[in-house]
Amino acid sequence: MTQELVFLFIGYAVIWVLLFGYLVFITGRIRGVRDAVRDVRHELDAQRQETAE
Amino acid sequence: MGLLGTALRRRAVGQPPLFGWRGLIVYAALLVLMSAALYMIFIYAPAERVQGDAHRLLYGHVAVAWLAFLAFGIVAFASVMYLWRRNPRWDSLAVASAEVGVLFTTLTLISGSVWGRHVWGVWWTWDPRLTTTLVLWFIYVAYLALRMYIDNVDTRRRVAAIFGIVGVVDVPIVWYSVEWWRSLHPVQSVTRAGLTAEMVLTLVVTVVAFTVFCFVLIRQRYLLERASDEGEGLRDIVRNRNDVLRQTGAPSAPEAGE
Repeated sequence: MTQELVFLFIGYAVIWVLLFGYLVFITGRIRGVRDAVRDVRHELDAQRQETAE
Repeated sequence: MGLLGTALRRRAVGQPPLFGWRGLIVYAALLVLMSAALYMIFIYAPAERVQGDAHRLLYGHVAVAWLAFLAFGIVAFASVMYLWRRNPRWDSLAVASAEVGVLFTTLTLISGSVWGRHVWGVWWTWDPRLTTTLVLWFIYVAYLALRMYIDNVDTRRRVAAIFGIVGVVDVPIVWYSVEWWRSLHPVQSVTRAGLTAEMVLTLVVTVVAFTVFCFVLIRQRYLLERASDEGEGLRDIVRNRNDVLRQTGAPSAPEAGE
């Protein structure tokens, strides 16, 4: 494998790692936002029940 | 439009993102496609007669460039649909595609720059194709920045939709720049570029691998946008409810983010 080919391989690896990194980052953020939304929804439901009682 | 609208509605906020078995299958398919593309780029495809191994960078470069165009096309289409239907899901699709489009344009500029260093001897030159691509990148970075600075949700969506439609005008300018002006950049046609059958097959596999990746990214980013929208709506409800409870002297619920 020539020096140039090694450089190209690293270039491609960086591209794929960046793409996968972005994908993992986005997926993690979805989980975080959904957890926050669920927590607030539970709080609201609990408070609605208290108010009803 | 009905079918597409239904498909969009199915991507409801309650749907799980790529976790569990379904996520595992998608990630495994991505790894297989990625490995196949890398094998074909580095082992299967022959070196180009003049450029040598530097030519192998173009498979990825061409794939990400096409997908950047596609992503910005989706932005324009979703923006038109938003202005027509006023359904926030179209706006979510537009912002998701814009962000992924900016990512792919960044990769296009980086991979093109590395290739240019090998072949032209410079990292950057103000060639028409390079310049118009850089302008395209700035347009959609501005689109994303604009969204952050408009507080009113309806105004933000409407202005962004208009911007998204106007911005896509640069895509055909980028595409035809090598024909309209004198350019160092290779022509865009596969047949005119003198590729062998192995090179064309490698390009097709690479484009398919990147396309699957692009659609997974857009889908995930869309789900994030929908979840954020739901969070924003819920925050408004909590805020209004707390205002009412404060007036009556009852304890209020914590607002999202507190």
